[in-house]
Amino acid sequence: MKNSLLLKQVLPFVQWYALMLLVTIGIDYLLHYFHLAWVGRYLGYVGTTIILLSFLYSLRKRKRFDVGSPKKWLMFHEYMAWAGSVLLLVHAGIHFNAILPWLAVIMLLINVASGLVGKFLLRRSLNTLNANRQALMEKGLAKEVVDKKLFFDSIMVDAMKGWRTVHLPISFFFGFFSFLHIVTVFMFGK
Amino acid sequence: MKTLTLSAILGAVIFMVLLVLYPDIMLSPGKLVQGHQEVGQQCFACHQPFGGIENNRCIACHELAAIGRDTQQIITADKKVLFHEKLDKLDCTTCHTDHAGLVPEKGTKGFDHAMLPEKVTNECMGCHQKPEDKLHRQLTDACAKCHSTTGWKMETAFNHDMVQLPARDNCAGCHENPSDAFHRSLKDNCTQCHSTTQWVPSTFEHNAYFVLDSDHNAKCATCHLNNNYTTYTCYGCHEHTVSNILQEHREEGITNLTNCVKCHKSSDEHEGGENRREKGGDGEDG
Repeated sequence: MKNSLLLKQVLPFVQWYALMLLVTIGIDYLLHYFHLAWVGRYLGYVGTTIILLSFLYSLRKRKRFDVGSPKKWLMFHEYMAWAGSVLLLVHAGIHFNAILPWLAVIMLLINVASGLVGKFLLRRSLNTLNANRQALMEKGLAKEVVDKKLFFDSIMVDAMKGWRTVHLPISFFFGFFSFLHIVTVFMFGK
Repeated sequence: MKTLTLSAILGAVIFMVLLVLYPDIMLSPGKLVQGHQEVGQQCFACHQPFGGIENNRCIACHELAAIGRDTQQIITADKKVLFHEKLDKLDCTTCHTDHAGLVPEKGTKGFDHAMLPEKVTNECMGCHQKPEDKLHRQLTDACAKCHSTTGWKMETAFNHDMVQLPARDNCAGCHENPSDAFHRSLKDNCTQCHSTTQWVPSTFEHNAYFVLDSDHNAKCATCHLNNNYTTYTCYGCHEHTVSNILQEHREEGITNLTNCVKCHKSSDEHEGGENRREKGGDGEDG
């Protein structure tokens, strides 16, 4: 049973994380192989733009616009943030220089891990919700009554609330360090 | 939530303070090169905020015309001349970095001729000194006919037409005579066998002297002893011995058996002088 939980629920998220690192190494290798390492500098701009675009989900969630379903926007956020993170990791490379950009990279890695944990919790909560709905329906309750009962499902709400309390500060510091890195690069570079 | 927000703001402020107090650790991409270490944390001594590093900040200390003047290694060992003076339109940072973290092994990012203005690139002698060997002394300054900016080693065959006459006809002016006995014995008429398009193979036709057919597919040293190509012997293999050759030629009245190719230019034994019975076939020039 434990193995089943591990394989079905935890492994997919670990795979996404591992895939991110592998794709990063692959792109980095190819760029160096074809003497295109200089491209890495510009991937910083592309990765940042993609991640910023992924935050359209946050605007949609807060109803700043009303296009598309929140579920689709959440998927958009997940994939865009993952892709942007890959590009930023390639951009960072393995260069042990100043502390600030490394803090930004570390926060990025933590942020992606945190995002994947959130994705895991959300899926788990939805599974629990569906199981509970099924149980209530089997008891003969009407659909409206079931929906009302499950609206404030404490497990789901508490889990996601707790996760958000962690994910938001991580995202904030990732954004903060990245912002400072960008500002200082323009301040000292050209 | 309010506490969390305040904590985040406090953390950000503390980090900003650290950033200002220790910019060398927090921001610098590596230690400064030895000559600039006294600059320390004064980043803006070189960096113009949001403007990069202006050349005049470097030139204030490093006079362009003087760069490399006192560097013995550059002037004497590599035979290069001072060239920074001609690069005043380029940013110093195009080639140089002072932060060892960027290029740990050296202070330059790597030179590429593509960075130079076309006029400077085409004027090789502006930066490079012409080699002083006897070949280059005879050539014009059209370096690009043999060399490229990506590599000194020739990528195409040397065009002898670039060498002025009469030097072009004097092969030994550039080439050394091969030291083997064959070439030592020859005079300077190299073009009799070799051309200016390629040295090997030469046009030397061994068949004109003796046909090297399948029966005579031997090493040079089998016939030409001691690396001496002016003489030969046919008795270097087991097939021909003095006694059996003598026996064969006795009835012809031929006794001088040293210059075999005078009569036999191939392994065809009937080609020889056995039917000619010439008196001269006795090998008087043998």
